[in-house]
Amino acid sequence: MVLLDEPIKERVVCKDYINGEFVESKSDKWLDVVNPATQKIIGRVPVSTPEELDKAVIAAQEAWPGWRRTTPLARVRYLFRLKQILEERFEEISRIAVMEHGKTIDESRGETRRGIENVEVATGIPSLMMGYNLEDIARGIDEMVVRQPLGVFAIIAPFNFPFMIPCWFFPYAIATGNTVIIKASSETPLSMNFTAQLIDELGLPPGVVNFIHGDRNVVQAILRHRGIKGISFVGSTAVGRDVIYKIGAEYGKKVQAQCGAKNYMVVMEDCALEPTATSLMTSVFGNTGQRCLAGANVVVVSENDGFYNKFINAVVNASKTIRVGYGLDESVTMGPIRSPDKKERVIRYIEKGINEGAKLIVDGRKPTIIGGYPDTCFLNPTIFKDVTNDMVVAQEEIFGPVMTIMRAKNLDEAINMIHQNPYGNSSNIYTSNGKSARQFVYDVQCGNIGVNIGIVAPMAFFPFSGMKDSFFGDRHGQGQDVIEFYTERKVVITRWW
Amino acid sequence: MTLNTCSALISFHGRLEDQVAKFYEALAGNERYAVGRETFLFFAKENKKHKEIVKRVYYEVITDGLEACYLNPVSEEHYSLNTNLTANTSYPSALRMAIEVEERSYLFCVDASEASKNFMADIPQALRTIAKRKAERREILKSLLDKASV
Repeated sequence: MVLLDEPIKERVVCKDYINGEFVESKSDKWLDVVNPATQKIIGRVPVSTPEELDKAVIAAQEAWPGWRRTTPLARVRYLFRLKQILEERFEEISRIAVMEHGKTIDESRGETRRGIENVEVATGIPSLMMGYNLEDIARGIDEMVVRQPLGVFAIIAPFNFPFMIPCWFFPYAIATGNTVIIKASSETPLSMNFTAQLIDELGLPPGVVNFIHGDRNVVQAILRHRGIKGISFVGSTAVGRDVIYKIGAEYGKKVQAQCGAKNYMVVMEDCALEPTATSLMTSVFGNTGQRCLAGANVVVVSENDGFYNKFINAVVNASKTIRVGYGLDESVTMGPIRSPDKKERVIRYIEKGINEGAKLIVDGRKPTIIGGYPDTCFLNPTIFKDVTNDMVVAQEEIFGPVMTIMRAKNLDEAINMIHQNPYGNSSNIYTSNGKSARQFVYDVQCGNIGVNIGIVAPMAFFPFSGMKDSFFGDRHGQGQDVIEFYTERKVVITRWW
Repeated sequence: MTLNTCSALISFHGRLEDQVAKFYEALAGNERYAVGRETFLFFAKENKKHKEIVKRVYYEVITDGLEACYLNPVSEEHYSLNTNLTANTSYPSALRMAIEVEERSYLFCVDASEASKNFMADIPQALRTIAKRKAERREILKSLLDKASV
């Protein structure tokens, strides 16, 4: 067991970052940040007051006119510097995310890399933000479209990718000439608290980037603040649809809400079994199942009992190689669930599955933990077989390391099963048959489709898509979509006498 | 110890290259092995470069969409190196030790490349390239040994 050095030695007291200054909140409500593996308190985070949010909004509003007039080239030069700083502090960022979230170090470095890739893509704004034009729409008259920033945007991030998800948004928001307020998850605020310190080193004009800590109360205040033009949100469907999208729209904001998921992994009999089983392990159990691209429902398309049993043996055996423990231990392949209440929620789903008649073939409720850490947040992988699509465990997002295996007679039936689910984030097919793959890509109503890919995580230069109950809005995070979200198109028609 | 994650594999590779670099630096710094000094210094430099290449490739290609932090495990013990020179180690004996070091390092790179084949392709490819170079180095050392034995 090689335990990597912990970058957090003393409790971190999170500070808001407003108008280019770190400010200790005057709030009387503070929350502990607990390392889910060790159960040690590693930080304290304030629930910032409405007045503090207001100060952040005013700072962002005041910074906006000057920032908007800063040339795109000059704006992205700050991002080039940010990219450099993030590379230099790569390992620190990654280990902080392990400590606050619980993921493994490999997973965390992957998260950091993806975050930085978004900064890299946003440096292309001078090209990416271009409009278009046509001469002589009528004789002597020209027409063009320019993209213009809107003002102050708020970014509300979830707990599961504390560094990466804010990076899906803020580099693009500021590169396009907007100013931002970032609210990290109150459960995992330390990555962003650290990032704020790195951003401070850039010497950006005060107020261009602001960080405000807090919980749902701060979110409610953001939603209702008239000074905020739009919101980028990632989190649960219940909050995204019923709170963010609804109230945001009421207050006239642009909203992009990327939400929950229940992802289907369709396994055809002609798949390459061994790599498929390996791929499914990371898909279902990676990040301890706490991600919106996690595989959940595995649909085996086969009437052949022999294949079904062979597949089950393969995934059960593969699941036995998973080592559960503290993510800074390099031999660990699955970390803890983020918090005890989230663990309890997963256990309740496992119990529901048993009560519904699904067959529990791997029970992760009594975990074996490498390193003797308290079992407060740990679970081992759980696998159900003979699950039917109407069961609660097949329909609802569990957000934990639970695989539910179902069967379908043919691909059409499997696709129908996917469509019966309210979510539409991601689906995958494992096959060596091009025709099946094409039908799947063509027919399945999900935003991100994988063919022999366990986790369909779009690269920074593509949108992170999503459909149905997995997304609310019309422009997604990352890529050209997010640039369109952060800008308004203005049409200009000119004639000179 | 079993290396079952990419992080563990990359860390072990780094430690292995460090150990070999130190070994060659010790050889180069000893008058008894002065004949091979240039080669040893060059090899030590290469070891440091190999460490950086693999580390850089890993950090550049790792992704949140990663599949297979689950490697086919390899056991660290298979690649333990004897790099302890004593006052009595002759030049030919030192070369034989170096050949053994290269062989084991080569084996590690080949096995690690195979173990990480389900990982992002750049990592096994980098390890294969380094394995090839280690095989070349082994031949260079063999030819030095031939000359020393004449």
